[in-house]
Amino acid sequence: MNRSRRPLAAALALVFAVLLAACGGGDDSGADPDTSTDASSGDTVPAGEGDEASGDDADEVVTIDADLDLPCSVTYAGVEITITGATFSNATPLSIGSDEPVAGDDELLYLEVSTEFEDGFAGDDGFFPIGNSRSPPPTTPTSSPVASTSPPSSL
Amino acid sequence: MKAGKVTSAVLVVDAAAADLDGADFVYDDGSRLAAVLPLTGSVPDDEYPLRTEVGEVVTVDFTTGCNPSPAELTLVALEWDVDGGVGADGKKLAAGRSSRTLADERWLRAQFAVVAGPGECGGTYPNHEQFRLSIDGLVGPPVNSYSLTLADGAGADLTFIYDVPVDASEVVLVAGADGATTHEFAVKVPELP
Repeated sequence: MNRSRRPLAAALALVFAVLLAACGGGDDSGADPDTSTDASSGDTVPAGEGDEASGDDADEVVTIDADLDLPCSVTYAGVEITITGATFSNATPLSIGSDEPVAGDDELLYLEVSTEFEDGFAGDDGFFPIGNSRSPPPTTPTSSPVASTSPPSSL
Repeated sequence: MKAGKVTSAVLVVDAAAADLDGADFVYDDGSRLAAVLPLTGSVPDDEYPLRTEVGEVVTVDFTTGCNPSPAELTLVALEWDVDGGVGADGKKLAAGRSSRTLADERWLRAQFAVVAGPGECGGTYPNHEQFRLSIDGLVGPPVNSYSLTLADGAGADLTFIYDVPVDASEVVLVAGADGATTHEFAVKVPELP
């Protein structure tokens, strides 16, 4: 067993990806605009006319529950990865969760993920950067349905 | 991260609501087998580990302080898996590397029980060098290192892990000290999803 921290980032260029099998274009039929909430507090905010977190009103942050059956989890390398929350929001990635989220131009899906070693699995440092990641890369999202987080420099 | 600690992160995806129908959350590092979690619909049951109880008992020679001596060896079970898991000692088997298998390989865990016979030089020393795996004719040691010192008649459990290409066809476990009495356990390679 190796409990020491190891600079494995180069070998483990971690990629988080959501592969979207069906690209449905601009149909937001799966979203419920009545469930809009403030991105920072989770409080319900007025869902104005035409308010679909699409960025039409760049001044207002709108968050919509993605209506997934959560929590759900999968195991990787002895670590249980659990999705605990999923919301759509037009808040910018760097401002989401802050006291004053900033509205951006894009509707994004925010997944809240927790990680924990499986029962009985020996702890090991350094190979699982997700636990040290919080912010997404400060880049403008592209049209590709792929998200990534930058492995921390210490790994 | 450390055992017993729960960590959290927020991931960002450029996706419209309609895109989530049939979407998967995929976790990988670019080289190892990805973990796939459907975002909609039911989560499928884990396909691994694939465990086979064996229970074959043989006599092989293990290293002692001088000449190799016979011991009773049982191949208890074989497990194919995508995560390395832990050994009989509770420690991570794939030490020094990720427990996740490479995309084109699978882990093979072999669980043994050994009972030492009368040694000639004060002990029997089964270790990883005496549990080799032949894959299509190429013989190599397990990924993990593990050594025991057994008094005469003493027993212990051992688990060794091997990385096996998914397209391997002939897999054989070779147990026993090299150059002494060994035994070959034929390993059937199942369908490996």
